Amino acid sequence: MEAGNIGGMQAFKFSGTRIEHLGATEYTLVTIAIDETRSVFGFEDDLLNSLVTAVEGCKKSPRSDNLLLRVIKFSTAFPNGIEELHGFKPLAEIDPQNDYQRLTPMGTTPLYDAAFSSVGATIAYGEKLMADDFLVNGIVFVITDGLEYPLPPDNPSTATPAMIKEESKKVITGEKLESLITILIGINATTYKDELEAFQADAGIDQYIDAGEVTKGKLAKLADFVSQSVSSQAQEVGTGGPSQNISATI
Amino acid sequence: MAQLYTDHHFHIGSTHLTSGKPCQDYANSVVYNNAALAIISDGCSTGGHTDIGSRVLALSIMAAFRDHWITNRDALSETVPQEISLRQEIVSAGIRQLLNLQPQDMLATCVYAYISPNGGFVHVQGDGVVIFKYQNGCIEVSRFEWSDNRPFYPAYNEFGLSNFIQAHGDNLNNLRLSEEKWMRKNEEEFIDCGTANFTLSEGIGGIVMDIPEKLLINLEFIAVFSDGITQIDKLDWKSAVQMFTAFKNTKGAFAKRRMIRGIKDTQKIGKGPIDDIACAVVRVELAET
Repeated sequence: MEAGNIGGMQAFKFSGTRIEHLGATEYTLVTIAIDETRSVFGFEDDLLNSLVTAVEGCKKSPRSDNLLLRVIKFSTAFPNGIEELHGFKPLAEIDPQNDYQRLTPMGTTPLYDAAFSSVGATIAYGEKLMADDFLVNGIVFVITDGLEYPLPPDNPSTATPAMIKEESKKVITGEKLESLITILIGINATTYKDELEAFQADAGIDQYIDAGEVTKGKLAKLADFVSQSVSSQAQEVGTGGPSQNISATI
Repeated sequence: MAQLYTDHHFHIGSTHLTSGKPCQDYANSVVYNNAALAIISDGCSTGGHTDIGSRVLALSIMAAFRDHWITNRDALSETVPQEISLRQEIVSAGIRQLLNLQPQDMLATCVYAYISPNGGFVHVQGDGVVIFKYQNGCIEVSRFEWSDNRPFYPAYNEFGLSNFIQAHGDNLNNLRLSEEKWMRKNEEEFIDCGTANFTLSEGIGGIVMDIPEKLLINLEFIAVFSDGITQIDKLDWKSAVQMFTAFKNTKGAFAKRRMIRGIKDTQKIGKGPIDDIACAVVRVELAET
């Protein structure tokens, strides 16, 4: 793995597989950001199961050899608000049952930093691959059960919605990637639907999906949605366009 | 001492794609016990199952290369190209019979680079394009073309040689094969370095471009292409050479990535490759001593 940072910002680091270890010529970069703040206490095991199921679903995709997955957790309990479970790496090297340890909910919610890290690292690593003639697109999922907290202006994030939007714009203006889909998923966050939709718009995130109240069934659907969306976007790499018909409901 | 790396790729052209024909070009490459082989083969469009013939020819040469290198450890002797051809003929004739392939299925040209850490050669059996890129940025390009677009196929050595000679005027001294030479220094335009002509006899034997060690250590890579590189829609063939060999990063599948990206870019301005296209590259790195 090699390390990078987003836009020269030392607080936003990521890692990715070295190019010499990449066998395919085209990749879809997948990022899953998981909320590990204290408010997920009580359903952290189901949330982890959902992540494991989603990754296992991705492994079954016919394009699994062309996926590079990065998983991060976010909480103010981590330095700079983010902990990278692993950087962009081939699914074959990931064993979700053993690699993903039990979640330990604590701290509050640096949602902006999580979104910025997810989008920024995808673009930075994707740009590097594109410069070396790989064909690359990306998809980002930020899964949260609440708002940036404490609320602005006392919020914990360094990044702002405007910075996330600016970062996303680079895909279009700078041809950094073939395409990038960004999805914000609210789980157990129906109360904050309006605020999260406002954040989605301000940050230039493509979709906000309210997954509703947390149940085992909903989390299973969430996992299924993630793996299907990844598969759909992976089919589009090389065509220059984003995938179509990603279901907007869970 | 030179450390060698290889990569290759081949791609169907728009004509075959739209007419439902298979890709008749083939490419392969390998580093075997520190020596490298990069090979392309181009099946005749008006032959039979030349998609198979081109593969059989290329894989036969790969087998011959391995066999030769492991027993001789010498890629510099004058006789090596002939030794490889002889071994290849034996292997491909046997495979042809085993698979019950017809003579017209075997009509394919072939260009390969057999490079050892001490040097080697490029052997042109038919037509194609050979590129030498130097570490100082200079590129030398040779385009081999037969008169009347009637190239020599190594399979003629097994059958049909007299008909081929007759089709070229029945005179082995006729000049029937040309080598168009171009050079480009850094960012300058390509300079026409003239054309060499070869007799029918020389063409049948195959053109050998020697690469002694003193040349090898100055090279960045040697690339061989099928004539598909000269038939890219709305793109001059020398520009295509430049585009398809501008490797951004030489790790992993560097030639494949460049070619895929190149094809994609050319499809933005036209149909991309009209004919099938194949490319194989030997990259040279000087190991620290």
